[in-house]
Amino acid sequence: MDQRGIYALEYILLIGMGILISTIFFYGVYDIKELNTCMAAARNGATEGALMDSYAIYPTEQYQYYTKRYPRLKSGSKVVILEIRYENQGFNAAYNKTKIQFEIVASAPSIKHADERNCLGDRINYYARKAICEAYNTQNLTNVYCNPAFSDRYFFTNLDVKWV
Amino acid sequence: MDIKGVVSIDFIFASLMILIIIPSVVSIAEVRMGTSESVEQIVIARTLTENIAETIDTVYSGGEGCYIILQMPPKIADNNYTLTVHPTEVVIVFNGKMGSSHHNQIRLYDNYGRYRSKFPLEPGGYYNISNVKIDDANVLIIKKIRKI
Repeated sequence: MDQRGIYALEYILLIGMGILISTIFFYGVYDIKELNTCMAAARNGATEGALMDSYAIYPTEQYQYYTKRYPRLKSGSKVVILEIRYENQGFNAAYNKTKIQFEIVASAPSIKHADERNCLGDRINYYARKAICEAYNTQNLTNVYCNPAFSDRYFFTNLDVKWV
Repeated sequence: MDIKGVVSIDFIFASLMILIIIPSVVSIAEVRMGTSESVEQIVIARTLTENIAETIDTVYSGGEGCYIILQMPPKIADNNYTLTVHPTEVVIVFNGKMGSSHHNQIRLYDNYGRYRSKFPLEPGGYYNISNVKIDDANVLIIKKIRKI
């Protein structure tokens, strides 16, 4: 700025370009940040689900169901989350959001039966979706199973847990 | 900010970055705090049932005359709970969750010598678990006692 309070044209151009680049840059950053936040929440939720499986402490109804059908699950077992990967499946016009499908890879060497693993996997997936909904306060937009889970720009579904 | 009151573009840029990052950090932190509280409850509940099941096994395997005084915690991570001893397991219910730990099969009696199919242990209570012989069989008698 000179003594008469006038900006140089170069300076105005530079600032204008800066604002333009910043806007584009921040849009991208915000987008990536939201996805990162969701996946961090999903990881957190999956860990909580895996811990419940490991310690064999379940919601009351499920405990009673396991008592009748899968008594093995009443004892603790080692359940470890190995990886959470996701795939962007593009914009979905029905939800007006981008669809992300994630898959959790876990290990439970002491649980051999496929049905029992399904029970453990369902809990891990449920808590992963629930954590996403809690991070964005979108529990009222989804069903009791938090499926799909919503954030501002994305919605999340999942594959069954892959056991290795 | 310089003496003319002009803020540098670096400062504006850094401020915007912070404004973008902080909400996501806060939301993740909230979720993690909730998770850690839930995990704390689960771990304490599991530890409690395992300890009681182990106590029962110890008294049972100790033979006639063996006894252990048990002190129940008043709460589990600020949550109320109910805990019941069954002939083969200890079952805990708290905050909409349920879990159990197994022990050797036992026959339970109260301090009046009556057979019990289950015996609730109240939070904050003191209990004497003792091994006695009734009809030539070792049984466990659980008796609520006053504070030691």
